[in-house]
Amino acid sequence: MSFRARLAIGFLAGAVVPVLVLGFFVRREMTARLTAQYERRVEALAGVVERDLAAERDAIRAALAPIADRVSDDTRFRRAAVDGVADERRYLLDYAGVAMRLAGLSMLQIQDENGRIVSSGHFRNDYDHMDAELPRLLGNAPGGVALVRARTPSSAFLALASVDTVVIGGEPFWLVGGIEAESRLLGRLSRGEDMRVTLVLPGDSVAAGDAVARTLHVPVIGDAGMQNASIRVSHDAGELHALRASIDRWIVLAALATATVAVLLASLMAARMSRPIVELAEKAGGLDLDRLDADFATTRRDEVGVLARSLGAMTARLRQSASALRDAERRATLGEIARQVNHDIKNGLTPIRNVFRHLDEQAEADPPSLLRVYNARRATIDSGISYLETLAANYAKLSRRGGRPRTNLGDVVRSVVSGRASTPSLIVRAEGPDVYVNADPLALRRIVENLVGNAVDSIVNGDGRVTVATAAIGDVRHARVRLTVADTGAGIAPELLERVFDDFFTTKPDGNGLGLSIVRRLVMDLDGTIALESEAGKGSRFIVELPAAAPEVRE
Amino acid sequence: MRCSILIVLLSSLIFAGCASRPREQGTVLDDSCLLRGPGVPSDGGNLVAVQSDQLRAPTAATLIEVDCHGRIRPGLADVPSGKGLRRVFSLREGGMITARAVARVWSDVIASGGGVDSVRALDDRRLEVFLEQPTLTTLASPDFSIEMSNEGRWLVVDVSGADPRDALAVTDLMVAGNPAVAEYAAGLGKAVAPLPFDRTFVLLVPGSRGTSSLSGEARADLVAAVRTASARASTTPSWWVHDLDGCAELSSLPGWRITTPNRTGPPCVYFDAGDPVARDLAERIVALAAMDTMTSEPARAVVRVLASDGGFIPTAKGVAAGEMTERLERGDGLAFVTSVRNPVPDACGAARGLLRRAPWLAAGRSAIAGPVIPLIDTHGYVILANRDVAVTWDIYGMVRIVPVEALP
Repeated sequence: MSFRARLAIGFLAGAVVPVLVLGFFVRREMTARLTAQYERRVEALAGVVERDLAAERDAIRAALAPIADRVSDDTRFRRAAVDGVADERRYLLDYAGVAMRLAGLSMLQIQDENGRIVSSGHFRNDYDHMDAELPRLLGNAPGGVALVRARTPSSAFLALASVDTVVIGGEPFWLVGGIEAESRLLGRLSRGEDMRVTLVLPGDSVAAGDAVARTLHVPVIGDAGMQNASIRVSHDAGELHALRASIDRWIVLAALATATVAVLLASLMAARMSRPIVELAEKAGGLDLDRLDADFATTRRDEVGVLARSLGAMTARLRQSASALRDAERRATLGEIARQVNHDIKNGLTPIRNVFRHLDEQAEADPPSLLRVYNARRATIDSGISYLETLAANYAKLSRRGGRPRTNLGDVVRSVVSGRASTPSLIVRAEGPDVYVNADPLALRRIVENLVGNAVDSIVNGDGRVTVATAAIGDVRHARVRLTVADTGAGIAPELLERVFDDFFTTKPDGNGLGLSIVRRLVMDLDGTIALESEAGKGSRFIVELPAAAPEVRE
Repeated sequence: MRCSILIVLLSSLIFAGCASRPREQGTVLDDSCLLRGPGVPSDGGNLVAVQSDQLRAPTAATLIEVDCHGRIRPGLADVPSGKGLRRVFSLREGGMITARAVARVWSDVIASGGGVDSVRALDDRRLEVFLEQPTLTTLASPDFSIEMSNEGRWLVVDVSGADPRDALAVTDLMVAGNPAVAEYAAGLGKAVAPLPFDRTFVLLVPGSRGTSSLSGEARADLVAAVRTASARASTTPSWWVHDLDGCAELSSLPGWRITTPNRTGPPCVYFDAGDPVARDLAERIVALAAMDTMTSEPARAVVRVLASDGGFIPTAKGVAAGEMTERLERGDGLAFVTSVRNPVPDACGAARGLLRRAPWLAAGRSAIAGPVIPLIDTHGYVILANRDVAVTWDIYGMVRIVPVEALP
């Protein structure tokens, strides 16, 4: 599992779990409080409904009583209903309708003792209809009220009705009056949208989902006689469920938001934490004997900084070791040459020594012949000396090729720059003091020429500046020489910086991709480092650092 | 407090009561049914009449006229002698209209299927007319009226939507159907006279296989249910049961091919919600349909004509005039309560009109075969309210203004 994944899991666990726990307890607390609040309201409403229902009963009775009083005194009603006077028939038919509207009732019908409707307010033309059972059942209903199904021309409605009686001309009449129950009565009884007052008739299916707080029983008169209906006071459990669902939804949303933030933070932090390590790893992965110039310099003071500095120190030691190896190799080569020189010198000296032994013997034995012998053997001596001279010359050549002469880098730089003719728009100049390094001038020249050529090539449209500078850096013990080649050219994109020293990498259409890789290799041979600073569009700066040559000892 | 208000209101109910038959007031001059107003002299301004389909346009005149007893009287022309389908009318002396002008005006009516086959001006004064049926009353119908000069005297106003009683103070002539209006006008001393029964409310039952008539007891029951019209139980026979074979172009109506009305939704008895008489009748019909048919003869009669003994109880439903027209045309309903003019001067024209409204009635070629069940007949009242004006009316209930200058 990656470092990033572990960090993300840690963040998730640390952030989401508390949110979920908090949500759980908030939900439980809110649900408990809301439920208790609903129950208190429903209880209060149930009490109000019960009182309202009783008040409606009283109001119906109170409305019927004056109608009964007035109808008994009404002569035209008497003539129509009792005496059967045809001219008063319409008065009779309209009587209940007018009385019903004036009394604020929803239904009113006046029936004779046989149950025949003689006047109906809610259905004027329903006269002569027989409904003998209704007054009788209403009279026997508990409390004197019941729900009845009242018919109109276009529909039927349920009414909470009561009955009163009046005697006109010795004939009893029933007054059945009431108020519309389903919308008018229940609408008045309802208190608030979340509280529901519903009427459940015999045979009605009860809707699920509502919590019933109180059930009030009311008789209902229908085709099957008197039955029990109920007025149910309930609160909308769906509302509570919806609230719970809403809380759940918000908790889940909060958890998701927290998780998202946690993952993002974890990713961000993991990226910030792992990036320098990854960079170190990449730099370390790129190390080999030819590429020991990786820069591990850092200002970090944390563990990553320690690691970087350790890697830098290790790389420096490796670089020194590599250089020492090369020196050893060189020394090993010199040893072989020395043995060859010894051998060759011996070979050259042996005839000379033999000649001198011969002359020494001749001087002891026959001094006068010494000159003659000398002349006779002089050619041998000359030949030996000539051989040694030739040998010396040859080894002198060999010595020059394998050694690192003390070379003035400043001279090399000036020489290269002077070969690059400046133009009014392109200025190539050298600056800095003379500094000395132990290096083949040819190698140094190749380094400088490659870097300067590269810099000049990067100048866009031939308008810019290339500055080649030398400097002495470091202290006496670690004296170094810095060569800086800076240009105001196109610069190098950040993603390409790591690749510019690779073999065959080039951004120039006609380039072979070997220039900078050769420079790097030459610098590495000199136990030096090379670095590149560049900003696209603004220019580049190559920095080469080489060990400085020891000061020249003058006798 | 509530009881006191109730008592006061109920007392007002007691004294107000329902309208009884209004007393006839004013001056009915002779048996030609001529009524003259209260006699206040005209001030020379416009006379105002309330618009009504029973009021002939003050400027309309016909060749002949029919009086309130059904007698044919001279109009623009003398009453021609003879019988048969060909009649020659002679325009009366002194008139400004010519026979050619009459023929020209009638040509459109004849082309659209009136009760006249053809007409021809023999000269400026004589007009040859070929009738569809050998009755002259056709020519007394408003369809064959001739527009005369208005002279700017009469102004006809529309007061629909308002209480007609409120218009009595500002009008001179009103035809009212509600007896309460006539009663109110009589109480104010206006001249009031009942008009002949001119309208029959009928029950149209699409697709009915039941009887086509109600018993007299049932019709009498319906009369009691009506509040806003002076009504009687409908009498028979009516014009739609006559033999209509002689009516030209009746067979070309598209309704001939419609034999099965559409009916959707619950069983409803539809009526025009703006017609209070139709409302009362429809409501009584559905009330009777719910009654015990064993004890109520009217209930039995209604159940028979609605064929509702299948167990359903209809409801009454008032709809807007437009919807009523559409439903009636499609036969989309259990039944329809509507009204037709009865009697009519032109049975063929009335039949055509009825079949346009309810094409499904025409199931056969010889007559209107569908059930047109007469319920009640109603009549209106003519009221002369303020200034000195006179009117007369015909047997069809149409009121015609008579110039007071022409009165003896």
